[in-house]
Amino acid sequence: MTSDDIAISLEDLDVTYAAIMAETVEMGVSPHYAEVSTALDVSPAVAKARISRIMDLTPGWLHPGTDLIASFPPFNNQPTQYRVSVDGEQKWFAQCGFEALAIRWLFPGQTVRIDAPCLLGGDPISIEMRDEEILSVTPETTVGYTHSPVGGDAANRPFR
Amino acid sequence: MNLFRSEEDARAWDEFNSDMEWTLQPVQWWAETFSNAMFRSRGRPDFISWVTGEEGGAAMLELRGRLTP
Repeated sequence: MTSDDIAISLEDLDVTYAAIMAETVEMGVSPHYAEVSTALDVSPAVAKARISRIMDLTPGWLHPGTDLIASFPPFNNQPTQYRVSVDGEQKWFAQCGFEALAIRWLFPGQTVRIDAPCLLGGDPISIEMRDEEILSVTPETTVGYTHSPVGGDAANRPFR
Repeated sequence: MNLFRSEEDARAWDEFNSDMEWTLQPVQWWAETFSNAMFRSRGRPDFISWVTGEEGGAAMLELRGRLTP
């Protein structure tokens, strides 16, 4: 039986996505499919197939050539330069500088801080946010920029 | 999809591409962009159903509109 032979409903994907997101929010890293399997009481093959399908539907991805979750936006399992702290505890990494700005929605009522080096020289950037509020931006002149296409049709993944 | 300390720093980056100059925006603009329902809804227990449904489609359309130069 291949992963294509495994029947997967939207409800299955909802439960699996929510389980991975909850684990990532709590632990700072996304689980392996074998851990998802245990948590959801499904076979490893089913967990793996569900994760693969979720990656097709979201801007996340597996590390090439593996079944390991590399990115589960807004988070990244592989460390990036975008370190994220919540109420003073740093254990998360953002997928990119833009997704870092969306992490606050997963921590309602808590202060989310992003620390990153500027790509030009490594001088620090920090941003603090809580829900709708941007509490501080240092330096105040901080900007976002991408040379990668966004909003285009490439597999309907505007932020990949 | 990076943050820079200033517009000048972004423009001085060796990978700066003037074709994508419109993406050079204050961090507040990007924070507003990433306030779209697509991002706010990731904590929903039914996120995949939502994102593949009518509401998710509308949120994506709105997002694409904002990200069209």
